[in-house]
Amino acid sequence: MFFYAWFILILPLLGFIGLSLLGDKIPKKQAGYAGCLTVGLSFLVTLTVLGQLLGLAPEKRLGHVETLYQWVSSGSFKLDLAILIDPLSVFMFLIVTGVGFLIHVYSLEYMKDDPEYSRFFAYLNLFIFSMLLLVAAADFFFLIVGWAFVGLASYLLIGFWKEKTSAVLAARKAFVMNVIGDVGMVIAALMIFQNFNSLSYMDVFSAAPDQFRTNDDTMLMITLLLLVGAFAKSAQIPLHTWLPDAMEGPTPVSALIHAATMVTAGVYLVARCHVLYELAPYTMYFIAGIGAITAIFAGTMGMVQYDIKRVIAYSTMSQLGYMFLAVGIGVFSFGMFHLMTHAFFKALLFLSAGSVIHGMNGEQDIRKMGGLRFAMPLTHITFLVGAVCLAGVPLTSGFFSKEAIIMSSWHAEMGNFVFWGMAVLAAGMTGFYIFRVYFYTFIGKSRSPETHPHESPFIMAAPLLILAFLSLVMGFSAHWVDQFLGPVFGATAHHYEDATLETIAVLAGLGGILTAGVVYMTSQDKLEFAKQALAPVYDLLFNKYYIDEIYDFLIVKPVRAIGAFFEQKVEKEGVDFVVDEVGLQVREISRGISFWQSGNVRTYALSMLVGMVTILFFVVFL
Amino acid sequence: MGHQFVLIISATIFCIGTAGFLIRKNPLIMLMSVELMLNSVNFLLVGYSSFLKTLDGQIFALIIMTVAAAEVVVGLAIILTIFRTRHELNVDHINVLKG
Amino acid sequence: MEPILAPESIDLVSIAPVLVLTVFAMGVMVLDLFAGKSKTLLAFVSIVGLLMTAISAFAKVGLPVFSFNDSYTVDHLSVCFILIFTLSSALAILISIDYNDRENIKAGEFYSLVLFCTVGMIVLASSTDLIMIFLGIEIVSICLYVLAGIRRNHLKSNEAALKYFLLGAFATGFLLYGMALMYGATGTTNLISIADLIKSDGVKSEPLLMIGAVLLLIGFGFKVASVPFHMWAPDVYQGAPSPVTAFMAVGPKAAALVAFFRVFAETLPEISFFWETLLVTISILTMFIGNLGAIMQTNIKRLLAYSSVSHVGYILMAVLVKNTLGSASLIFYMVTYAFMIFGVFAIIIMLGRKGDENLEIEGYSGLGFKHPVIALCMTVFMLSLGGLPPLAGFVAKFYIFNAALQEGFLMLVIIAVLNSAISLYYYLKVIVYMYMKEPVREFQLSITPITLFVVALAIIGTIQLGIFPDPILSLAQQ
Repeated sequence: MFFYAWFILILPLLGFIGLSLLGDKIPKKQAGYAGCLTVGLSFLVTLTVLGQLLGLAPEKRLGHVETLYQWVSSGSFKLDLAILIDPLSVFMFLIVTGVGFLIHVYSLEYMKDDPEYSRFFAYLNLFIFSMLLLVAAADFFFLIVGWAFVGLASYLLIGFWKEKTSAVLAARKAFVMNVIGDVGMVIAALMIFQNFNSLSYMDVFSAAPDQFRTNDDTMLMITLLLLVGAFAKSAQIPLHTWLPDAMEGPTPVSALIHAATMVTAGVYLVARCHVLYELAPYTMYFIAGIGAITAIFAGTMGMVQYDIKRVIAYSTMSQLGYMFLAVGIGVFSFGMFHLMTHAFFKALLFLSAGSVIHGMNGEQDIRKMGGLRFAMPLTHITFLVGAVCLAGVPLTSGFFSKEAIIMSSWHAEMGNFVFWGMAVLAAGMTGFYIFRVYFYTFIGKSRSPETHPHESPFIMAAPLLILAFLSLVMGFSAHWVDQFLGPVFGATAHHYEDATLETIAVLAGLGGILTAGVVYMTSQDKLEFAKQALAPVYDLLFNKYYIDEIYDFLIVKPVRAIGAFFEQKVEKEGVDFVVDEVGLQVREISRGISFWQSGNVRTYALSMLVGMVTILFFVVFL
Repeated sequence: MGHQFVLIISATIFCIGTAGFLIRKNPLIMLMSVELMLNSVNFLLVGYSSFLKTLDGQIFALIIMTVAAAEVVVGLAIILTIFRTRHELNVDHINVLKG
Repeated sequence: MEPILAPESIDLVSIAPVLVLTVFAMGVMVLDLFAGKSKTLLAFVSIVGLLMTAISAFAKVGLPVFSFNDSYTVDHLSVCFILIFTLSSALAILISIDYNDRENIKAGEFYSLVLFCTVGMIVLASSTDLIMIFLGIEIVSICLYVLAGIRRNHLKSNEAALKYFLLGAFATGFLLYGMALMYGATGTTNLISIADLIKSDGVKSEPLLMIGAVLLLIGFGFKVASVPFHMWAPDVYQGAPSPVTAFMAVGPKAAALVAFFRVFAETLPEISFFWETLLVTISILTMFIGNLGAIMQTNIKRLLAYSSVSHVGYILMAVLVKNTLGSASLIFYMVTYAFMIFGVFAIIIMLGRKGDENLEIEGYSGLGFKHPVIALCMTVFMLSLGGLPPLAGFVAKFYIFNAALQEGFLMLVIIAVLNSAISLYYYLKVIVYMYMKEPVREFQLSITPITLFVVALAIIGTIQLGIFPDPILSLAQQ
């Protein structure tokens, strides 16, 4: 009955094929419009599917498998080209196509001076298609196909400006990290196939609870291997290093990767496979732990960056940590809810940042900005909205979704004090780093007087306004989302009420904002209004130099040390080193093979003989 | 004295042939070494044939001889053409293709 | 002693493909005398001959049929492979027509050698007797020695022929010694009798049989180019004329694999305890050495040579499966491999011109902008070789991995998947060069209708078998 849902996937695919074949032949403008149109139509189809789904009773919304055709059906294994329509996949469709469409529209203007405009839109369409395939898949096979295609599309988009060496390197890094994840996924799928003799979600999920007891070794192995893929896509420690570097791509790409697609894939995977994960509570604790650690780790990194996009990138990692924490402690629908609100405000932040960069003619260093609230009033407002949502200021969407997770991390069955403490700490950091950027960028005076920032045109502003609206109001849909997704996860998540904890968490976020404010004010000598407003307190109680010292000692130094430690030891010497070293060794081995292939017949004959003698030795003596 | 004798003799000849192939640098002599290996096989086959009282081994030996003759013809032709282009016949120097 | 060959076992219909093709091969040779300078006519006669051979493969009904004292078998496997051989030989002839014109290879015997070689392959794929296997291998090899060196005054071609010949003869020595030992241990050269003997009485742990089997493994290992007997492959593939390289990479390799399958999976499954581990090790090594060796290559033919070594690593898994699923996956893999390889080589031939073959990958830079359609075809082949869905290479790999998985080779499959991921690196490298680098040279393509036809056929095959693999899969599985 949802067969037409195939159009959700087919439209962006057509867009990709059409644009990459005919991109040069049609005028630039039309190419862009075509790219937007396919995703927009896809969004409309999604809305129709949603409407039809809502018309059904909640328990009938599950498990609608729509088979396009039987790909392989001979003999012992079957493979259907099928998509799964249920609340979870439709929920993801909405985010991917909805936010994706807004980003497409925004790109119309943002990329208008780029000579390879149509190629850009072709890749964007490919990216949306891949993500939709990943989400729509009805079996592990197409999940992996979508998974790999997302990796490929991200490679193409991050390295879009191929004359920029750093972008090419970043693209390659993202690709390598993603391939590591893919390999984990494939091995997991092989194990699933060996144990269940099927790759279809329906078969596997219905058989798993009968076939395996809780914390069975095989189940732990499968869930952990799936997690390698999830962590690689969602940039969790230790597979996160590609995400900050991925900023080298054009800003709409960053928004797309960070908000609507790609990084959410890992969270989606865990939610989709919740049946398997519920059979492996050890893995769940592991997920929650890694999520919490990533949330804090990325927070510290975000606090010391000066590149506006890098700060937001680290904040993505941090927020993904929250989502993993949520699914790790078993409140799947809260994780998905935060995924949604995050998609809105993160897209908003990125696009606003893009607007700033656009206005500043490509400048990304926040130390060189300042006072942009006058030059770019609209962007200022939208960025502020994004920032308050991210920081979890009460009544914004971020507040509702984050509160739900923080509350569950204490009260839920698998929650405990440690998770809660880490979540609150990360909330404090969030408030700090995002408002640090805000103050640097929009408050005060311009620090580079030679540039003349300008507000972005309407076509860029419109998506910002829509996203700002959604970021503000979608928090109130918490109950609805929970009800909608409930049947997928077997039960709706319990919403815990605890005024004390709630207050502490809110205070942590606000405290972060306040600290950012104080730090910013004290470091601004010529900030007249601040001086006047704060003068009495300022002169009376604090020696300016003194607070700088305290701040320096208490916050800057430790944070910088931690940040530097992570950057140096974990990223440069840890993960990157291992990856580089493996690459180097592979090349070394490859050279060794070439060297062995000396061109001399007698060497070859000798190798054959040595091989033969070795084999005979083993056969005769073992 | 039994088929062990045949086996030992033929294995010895086979090893001599293998060693010759590895040691010599002239493709002609390498080719002869290969012929030695094939002859050891023939010896073994014929020996077994007489022990086992079946004709298969002898037929096999005859076929090997025929095929070996054909192989030598092709081999000599190849060696000849390479001598024409290079004017020398040291396999250690024939290593344009490598890596 | 009973008569050597029972009169009732002489069945000429069962060897009809061999007879038909031999007649055509000799006919082409004679025709060469009257053909004059252009050899195109010979090529078309050869193709007609291959077509007739393919048809005659169906002459026998009621399979399997055993004839000539059970030394020649017509069964589903052999019929399928006869079709693969005739297809690959026909494609090889098609891509060589213009290549031979261009590179001044005026030898009419080229086509007749290809046909004789195909005869050898058919014999090899149908034989259930060690003597016949030896005969088949030698017919194939001798033809290939000549074909590799068919450019008589071309240094690299000469070198390739010499290396292939010397090492091939050397490997034949081991193969024959192994056969002799097996004969000594069992008293027969017939595979069916050997299998019965192993099943019924205690020759299982006979050391001579085991050593003989190992030596056979080495001989076959050389013919299919598996590590550590693969070292001839990169050199010979690079030095031989491009159509011959493509031909070698598909037909003869497939034939050797069938014989491999017949000897090990069909005859010796009872004593698999000692060769299974060996073959798993060889398969893993072959994948790794092939893929790692290909990473740093700059010459496209050499790169493909290493890649074909790695593909052998995957295909050997089919021998390990030991049942009809194994033979079906072997058939399907070789069909798809034939399409991919001939497609790639047809493009390689197109990209060269007289006296300048343009074989360095760097020379492909910017092809995507200058000749988008050809670059797109190349991309499809590369992705298919790398095993990306929805292309044929993927289904073939998936099918073979699935078969191995059902036999319980989980670790082997995991390693194979890992290797597929590594292999993407160098396949994508070619694509990156075509689309992401500025051209370093002028392209002067020699596009001819026949070569284009081969590319089109290969593209259709690669995509068709990827998206609708079912008909061929069920055919292979009968």
